[in-house]
Amino acid sequence: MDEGDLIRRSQTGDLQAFEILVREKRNQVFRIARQILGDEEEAKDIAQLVFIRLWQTLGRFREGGSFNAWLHRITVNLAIDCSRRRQGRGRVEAREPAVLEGARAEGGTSEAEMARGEVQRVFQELAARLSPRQRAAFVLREIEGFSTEEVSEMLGMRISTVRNHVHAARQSLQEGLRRLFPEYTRRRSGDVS
Amino acid sequence: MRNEEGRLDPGIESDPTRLFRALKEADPPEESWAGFWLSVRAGIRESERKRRSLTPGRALLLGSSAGLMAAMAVLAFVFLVRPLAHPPAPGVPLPRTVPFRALAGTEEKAPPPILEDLQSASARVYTFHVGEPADATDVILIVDEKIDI
Repeated sequence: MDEGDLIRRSQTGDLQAFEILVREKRNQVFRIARQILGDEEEAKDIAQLVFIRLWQTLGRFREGGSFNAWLHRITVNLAIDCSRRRQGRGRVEAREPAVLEGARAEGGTSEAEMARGEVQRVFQELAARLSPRQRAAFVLREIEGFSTEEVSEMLGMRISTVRNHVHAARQSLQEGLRRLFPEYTRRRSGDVS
Repeated sequence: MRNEEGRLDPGIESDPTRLFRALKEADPPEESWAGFWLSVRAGIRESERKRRSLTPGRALLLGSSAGLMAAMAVLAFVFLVRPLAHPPAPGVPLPRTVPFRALAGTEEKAPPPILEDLQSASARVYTFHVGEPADATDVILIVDEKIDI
């Protein structure tokens, strides 16, 4: 059953089809929410809300439209709302990614996982200076790899605004990397690009 | 992301996105999704139960309340906010104003009861003190553009 079939069946109230759709999309929804929020537990909670909201609104989704844009518009809006509510309560320190916590508890982890955990921490620290919309635009465009047009649809912004947000985010991250994490930007002899 | 010597790709010097692109691969372990679908399904059932319990009569009442709120907001804007934004022309005597503190009386009053536990970050509460000190009353407007009625 392809995505279109799953959507059509979910629109008629088929929970089994919707469960498959959730399983196929949950990782991406979680990743986007986590990169916007910087916290895994909150991202998991937001992912749940996203799929509940998706079920409630799926009847309004029209065939031929971009399902990803529909889904991630919900994801981004809920994550940004959550981020603003949290700012109102005061900043919460980001927790270490669960993948690393679990791996450490078991007594080891792969090099790739360690490196990703490192990069995740660097991103969370540097992205905390971005506005929620800059952060969302950067995550969707540069990490998830959606086109600028898709991101513009997801964020409900003009294409030029998306480009400006991504550019500003990139500059801020680049400057932060050079200043706070020079070890990641320094070119050394023997390194392969 | 890393080269043969275990060092991070130095190409990020010109483009930091090369470093952060690796985060797309950072999916949580499969076992961390245990119970996720059950929670989503419980949330769906709860939302459907709430929707069904919203009888046509209650829906009409809620709709009327929203209309009443909108009308109050318009009235408050016309009679309270606009006059403040347009000061009278020179020579026209100013209306008698009541000091803000005078409305509260000389004694400290207990704070008003909480009318609504606002969960929304976008909600704004406006309180207008209306009338003479003898019969002053508070008009409280709660405005939330994201309210889902």
